[in-house]
Amino acid sequence: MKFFRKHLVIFTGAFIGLAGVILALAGNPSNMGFCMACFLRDTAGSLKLHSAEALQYARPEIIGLVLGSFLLSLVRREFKPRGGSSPILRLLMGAILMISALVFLGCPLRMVLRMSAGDISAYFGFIGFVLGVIIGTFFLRRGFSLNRSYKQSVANGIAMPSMQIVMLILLLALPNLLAFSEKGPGAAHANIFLSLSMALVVGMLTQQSSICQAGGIRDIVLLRDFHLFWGGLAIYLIALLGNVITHQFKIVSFGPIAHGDTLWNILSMVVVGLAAVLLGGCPLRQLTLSGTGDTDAGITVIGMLLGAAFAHNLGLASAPNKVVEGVIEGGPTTAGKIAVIIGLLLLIGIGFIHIRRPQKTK
Amino acid sequence: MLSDKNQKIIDETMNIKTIDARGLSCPQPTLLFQELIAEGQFPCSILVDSGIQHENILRLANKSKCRIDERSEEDGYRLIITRQ
Repeated sequence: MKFFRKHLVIFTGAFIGLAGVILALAGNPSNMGFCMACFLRDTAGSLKLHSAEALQYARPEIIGLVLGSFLLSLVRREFKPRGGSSPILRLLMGAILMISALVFLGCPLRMVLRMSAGDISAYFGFIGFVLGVIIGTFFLRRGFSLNRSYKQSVANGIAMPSMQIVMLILLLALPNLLAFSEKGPGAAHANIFLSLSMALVVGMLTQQSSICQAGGIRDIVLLRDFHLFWGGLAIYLIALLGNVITHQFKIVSFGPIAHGDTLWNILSMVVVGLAAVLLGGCPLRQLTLSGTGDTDAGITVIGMLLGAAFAHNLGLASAPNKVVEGVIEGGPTTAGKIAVIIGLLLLIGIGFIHIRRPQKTK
Repeated sequence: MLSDKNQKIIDETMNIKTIDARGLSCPQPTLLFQELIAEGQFPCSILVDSGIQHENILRLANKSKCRIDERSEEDGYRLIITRQ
């Protein structure tokens, strides 16, 4: 039990990698067994926050993740309603992170799952992600802080888990109120109960282990600490093994539901990496925290939901590359590229406004 | 359990630098702890939320060969750091 506790982050990574492979095999879109960005986008679509018909499905993975974290934090008396740390900035940064993730076509977790399936474009995304995290550490070393959070009422703390319960009720009992894609990625989904149960376990494991893709790179750069990185590596290695065994592994320049525009794969993930560091965690971490009563993370999740809606309403999201009669179609849009640059500038501005000292600490 | 105000009076009397890292986002508490031990003024103390921040600091303290005495507080822990 002590061994399990000590290496929990590795077990968590391994389970997430496994869940990614299994859910993709069981009906989720290719290389998208578990993707926070894509699934929040699909959930936004199901709520008709955007009208991209191919991207509408209230993903049980999001619901399960938050509720798994919520339930275990209650059982272990680790549920702590708190908030008040620059909420509106977190909403904005969540939206920026999401928009840029949808230019790349994946969150940091999907980036790793795509890498494990042989998608070369995701490796370029990883380079951008690492660069973004490094830029984030520039601000952290200079005392960047979005300021303290404080104890909040229980009502505040249970708001996000309650919203997820409402989504679950809608999905299971009142589906006519939601939109469901009939084709495209939104129509590709595993059995609701399989998704929900795997996500509940992921939520519990991530709540205990605090696994975080951005944190993994950040802690190596800042603290020479590899603890979280081993978790990320476990996701990659187990998913890679799973993909090879299940014949989902194929080395391609861009995988399914991805594009091969190297520059924008890198730049968009620079913004995702930077946003994740300034927010204190990647999208998976934000969703996990929102289940434990962290209302700042909850607002970040709402920001991500809004960002997903804007991404599709304003044509910011990339279209996956498709080869049609020998011609490659799709890729990032001009509006999306502009949004990535604006997002980067906004994050840098927020970074400089919130540092405590111009010189870095050793 | 001492109130924050009384604890502050004790810290100031005994010249113990105390940093309040409660309510801060990852990895700020760990960075503040790193700064605290780099300053080299022992004993010092840091207030930290229970959970992952507490675990991270204990892990870093182990690597930095500091001795930590911890005291449960109402909303977290007070970690008193001395050089090993």
